[in-house]
Amino acid sequence: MPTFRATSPTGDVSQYDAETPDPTHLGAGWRLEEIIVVAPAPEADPPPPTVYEGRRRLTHQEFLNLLGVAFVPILALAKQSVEIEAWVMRFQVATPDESGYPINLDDPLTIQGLNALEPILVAQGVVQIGWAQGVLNG
Amino acid sequence: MANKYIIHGATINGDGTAATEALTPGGVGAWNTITYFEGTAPAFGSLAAGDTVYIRSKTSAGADITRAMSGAVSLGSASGTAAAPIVWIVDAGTVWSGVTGTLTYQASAGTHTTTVLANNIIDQGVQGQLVFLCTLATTTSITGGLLVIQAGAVLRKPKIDTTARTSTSPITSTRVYGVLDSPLFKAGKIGNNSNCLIRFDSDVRGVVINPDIELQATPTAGMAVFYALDAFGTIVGGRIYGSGATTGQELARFNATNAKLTAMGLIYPKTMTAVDPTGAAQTFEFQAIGADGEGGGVFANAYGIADSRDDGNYPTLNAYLPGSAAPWSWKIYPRAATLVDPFYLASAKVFVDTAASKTITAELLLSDEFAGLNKSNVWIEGCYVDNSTGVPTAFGTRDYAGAALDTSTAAWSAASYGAVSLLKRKLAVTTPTAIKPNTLITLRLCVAKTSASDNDILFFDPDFTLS
Repeated sequence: MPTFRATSPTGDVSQYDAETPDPTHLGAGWRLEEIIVVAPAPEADPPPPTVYEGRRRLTHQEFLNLLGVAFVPILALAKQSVEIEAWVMRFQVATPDESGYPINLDDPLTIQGLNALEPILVAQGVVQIGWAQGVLNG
Repeated sequence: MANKYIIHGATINGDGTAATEALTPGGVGAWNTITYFEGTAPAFGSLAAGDTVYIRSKTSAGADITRAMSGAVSLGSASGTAAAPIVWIVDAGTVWSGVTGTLTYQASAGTHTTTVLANNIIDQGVQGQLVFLCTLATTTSITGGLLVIQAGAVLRKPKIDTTARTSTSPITSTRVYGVLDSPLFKAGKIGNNSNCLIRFDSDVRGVVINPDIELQATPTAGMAVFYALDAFGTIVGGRIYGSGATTGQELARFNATNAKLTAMGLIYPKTMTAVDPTGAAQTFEFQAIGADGEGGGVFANAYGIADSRDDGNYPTLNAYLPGSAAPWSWKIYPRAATLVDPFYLASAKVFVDTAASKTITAELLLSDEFAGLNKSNVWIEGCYVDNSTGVPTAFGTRDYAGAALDTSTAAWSAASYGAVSLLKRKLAVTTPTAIKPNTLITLRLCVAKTSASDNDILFFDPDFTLS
């Protein structure tokens, strides 16, 4: 049932619940409000954890830290695959841009490479599913 | 891009495509709930990028709408895009004739922040139909701010009412990351240092256009109207007034990050303090033009503040506002200027005479209480175009030996300012070569000594002479 709050021309305030408002309160000089409580929004999912406070651009060292235990296995894979070697080399030659950092977690090639490496590393038992997203979370 | 309609409280929920009430659920007719303005997806019909949604400003029963918040609320739809924002209009009789009501978001607890989502434009037929009301009086803080305008969002003509606040400790700021156009602020006590009334932060360039700000509470030191934290805020037009817009009320504060505020045409009383630099970074900057309703300006940084308010009753000499009979000068307070970080104030004029070497003279008035001023810590430096070579050529008057400043007999309008007696001084330099006609001479006054008291001030006539 709606809740109404009526303020008279002299400033007296009354509040009541009714299906429809008192017609008097729609008259000249009256202020009539319908008070509607806003339902609370559903609790949002907590943001993913980040290591560098959400910063998307990193130093070489910070990126290696995010790779974690996968760093050495990736280097081993690079010796077997030219594509993987080329991907690794991109990071080696990356230089800082205007942000001052050389590594960009939002670069499509970074994302593509990590996602391509994950199943290989999972199959080797180096990491678990979700590793690539964890790196990309920053 | 279609027009949609909301009549809150209509008996039947329609598909939103008409301004009349629907006859059947999902039939042609207005949506019947204001929650679609708050992010809930319509049960019938659709809301798409570029749509315009008209909101009846009274319920179907004829009552103003007051949304008593129980948590944070977001206004707008995520369906809007930068190229095709969704426009929401609180109607004032254009669609629903004779119906001019109010839609109020009533905040009464610390989580009650209202956010205007990016890619949404919220407008209203009459200023103040959409009201953001804070009923909290004391200590509870709305930590996220009372109202947040996201980058890419535009909010037009709202009323932001914090008159209930009687304490300075709580936070009730309006945070502007997008555009806040023609807001009406009715303010009680302004919140604490880092929040104030209107806040810019997060490396975003927020804009406030034509704010009408009435301050109703007694000022408290440290509680400024505007606060900038790692951001660049722009205020265009507007006014600050009311019983609280007086001595002790600060206009702007900054935190210890790179921040800048520019106020173009914002009128505020001369009794207000323009800027308090407490806690600000060395890189902060504040500029105001037209604070006096005329052409007066204010410039402040970490090293000093200069203003040229027409209502400041400052001594004047040669300079006049363009197209005006109003003389003006700069009043300078070098509150933190040093030999390493002087306070600079620029001027310029076009050389319209025939080519010749000229003596450039800048006239000053110095407080007779301001001890230790000499040619090593007060000087002019600048540049002219050499008539023979066309090359910009520098000049300056700085004497590191610290010779006394030259006395002057210039006919200033006054040789005192309030209780402060002023000494006439000048800085002059003769160009070694002829100045090229119709070229710009630029000059800046440099002050490299910190004021020891409020009376340690200078006046500078920006209309330097050439003889």
